[in-house]
Amino acid sequence: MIICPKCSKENQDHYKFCLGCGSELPKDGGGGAKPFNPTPPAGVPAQRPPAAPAGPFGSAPAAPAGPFGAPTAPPAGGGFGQAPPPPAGGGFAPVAAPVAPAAGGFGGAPAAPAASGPRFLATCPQCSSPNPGNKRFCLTCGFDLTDNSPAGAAPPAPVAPPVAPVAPVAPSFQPVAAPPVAAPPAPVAPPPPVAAPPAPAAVASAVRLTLIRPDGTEGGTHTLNEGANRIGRTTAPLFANDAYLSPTHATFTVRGTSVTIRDENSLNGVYLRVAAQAAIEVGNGDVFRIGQEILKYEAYPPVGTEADGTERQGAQIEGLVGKISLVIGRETTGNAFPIPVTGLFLGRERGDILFPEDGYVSGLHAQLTVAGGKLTLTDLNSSNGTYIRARGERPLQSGDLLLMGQQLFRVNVG
Amino acid sequence: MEQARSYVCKNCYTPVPQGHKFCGRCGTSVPREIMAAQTMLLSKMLEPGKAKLVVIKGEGVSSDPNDETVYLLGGRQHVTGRTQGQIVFEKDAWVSPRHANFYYREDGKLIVKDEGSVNGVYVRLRQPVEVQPGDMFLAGEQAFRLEAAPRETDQAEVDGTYFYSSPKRPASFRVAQVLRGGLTGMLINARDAVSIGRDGCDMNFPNDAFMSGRHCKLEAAGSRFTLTDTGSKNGTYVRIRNERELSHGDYVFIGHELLRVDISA
Repeated sequence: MIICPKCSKENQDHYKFCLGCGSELPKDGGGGAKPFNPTPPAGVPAQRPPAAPAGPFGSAPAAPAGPFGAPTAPPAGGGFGQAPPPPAGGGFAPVAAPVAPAAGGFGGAPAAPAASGPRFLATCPQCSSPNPGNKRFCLTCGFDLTDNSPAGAAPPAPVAPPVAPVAPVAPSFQPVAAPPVAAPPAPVAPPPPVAAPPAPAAVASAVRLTLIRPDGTEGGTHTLNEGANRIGRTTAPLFANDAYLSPTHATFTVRGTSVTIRDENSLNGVYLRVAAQAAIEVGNGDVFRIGQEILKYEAYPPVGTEADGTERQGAQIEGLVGKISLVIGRETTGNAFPIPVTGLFLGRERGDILFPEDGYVSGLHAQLTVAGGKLTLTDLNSSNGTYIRARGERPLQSGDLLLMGQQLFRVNVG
Repeated sequence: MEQARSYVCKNCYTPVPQGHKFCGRCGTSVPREIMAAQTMLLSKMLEPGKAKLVVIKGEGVSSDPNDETVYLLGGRQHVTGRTQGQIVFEKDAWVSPRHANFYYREDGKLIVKDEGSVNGVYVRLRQPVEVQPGDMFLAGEQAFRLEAAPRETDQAEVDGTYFYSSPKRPASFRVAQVLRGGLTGMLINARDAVSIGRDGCDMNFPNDAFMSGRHCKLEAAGSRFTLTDTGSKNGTYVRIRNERELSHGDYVFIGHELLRVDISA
């Protein structure tokens, strides 16, 4: 709270000018003003990482659940009160468990730091569960607990995803050394030459999917094969930990250096990040995502009348093109707002529609514009981007970012 | 000097006493209009206890404030509709062909009955009223519907896939803005209360000139919902179920037509 020295009006901590008289407010308003919290960059939890209960598959409500993390992880702390769903009766085991690490089976894993034998983190950096010190993998979520911090003194670094141990088995998958948190993204150990793919007849293509971890660093990669690649929770280790992925989620089709994606009627869909400041057309039924919010657009049909010629009574619809609704279930929507022909701005703090509790939405995030009877969506240089759910077969370019399940992937060609 | 007290024969100028068919002096017949003469009732006079409806807004309202359109409810029942009845609003597409009936109950009270209309009959709130999910109400130029909290459909699939839902708050009910044609406009989920107005409320309609700053609010207590007019200028109107007794000073919305009920003492 900042009390205006001129007119004594109470102003919120991040205001620069007084609501009452417009005069500039002192930077440190009497009484320890909290610093303004800008949108965290992609991946960094908005507030403090919630002391999360152990999620069924670890990644669900865990601290590093970034903008692409579990929707159930409330960044604003209890605002949503949504408990993480209970595990669905052991649909599948955490991936690390069944992979019995044979001696030397960790070829792909980063070298253990000290000669005295590997050290393991006692607290899982992914789900915060306590673990006995001798466990390589988190008992709760299967996360690889190998401590890679140079001196062991640094805070627990996000480690390679739990799929790492399986690396030697899957030639198309290359584990990436986990950089410490502070390190620049992806000082990756040069991937082992892919030159000799063993048995499988599939021909590796030049297209790779790179997992972007919630902290912005790179996780594992998955090299796509020439032709059709069905990707899902049951298809490759890189995806196995994500309970928000359908067993078969999407198909990538690679032809040389061109690649397309098709959503295979997955439950949660595939979302493509739209370029900033580019107007993307949004059609009836399209779904898009900003921060943790999934929004669905429905166009208004023409107003009809009943059989006896009576029109249903209601507010003026002239000047409205449709509405956006918050998706909170397969057939359930939460709050909804009509879109006037003059358009709408969406943001955490600024705009017509606000998401004050979603730290992954930028202050001013995106804009809906109506022109020529069509609705377009424009990302306004938001920190975490705006994503639109893919319908049909969509071409991908190198560098495209896409959300599948609760994970973010970058497409690399060549 | 005095005035002849009765009809004067047009033939011989002799006054003919009332009730006689022929002149007593010359036998000329008295014209029929004289025989049948009776007092005309001034149409706007009303018997005590009877009501009239004054059109406040809608068809027949002229720009001259002294020129009121008034419907006298002098009979026993008065059907109103777009095509049927005694009170017809033929240009109002929100009025059903046969919409409502204003009738007097045996005890003489005026009742308004919804005759199965599409859009119903709304009566202005005089005090907070209890409403139920499905009930409609009007404020400003907006229409609203109280709805139960939606059924949750975000369970995991049988194959173990979780549904990725937007963050949601627990809600016990919601309020939908209803647009022309019955479409849903704004929709707000709430746990305790929803306030509606032009500015500073949970649902704001800054472009609605007939909406007060803080117009009305809906509050939930358990499974009971209360609609309260929070001092609005133009009132909050709730759709009646079947029929309702009216009293002097009530306001009734039928389609676009806003009617004031005046009951003479």
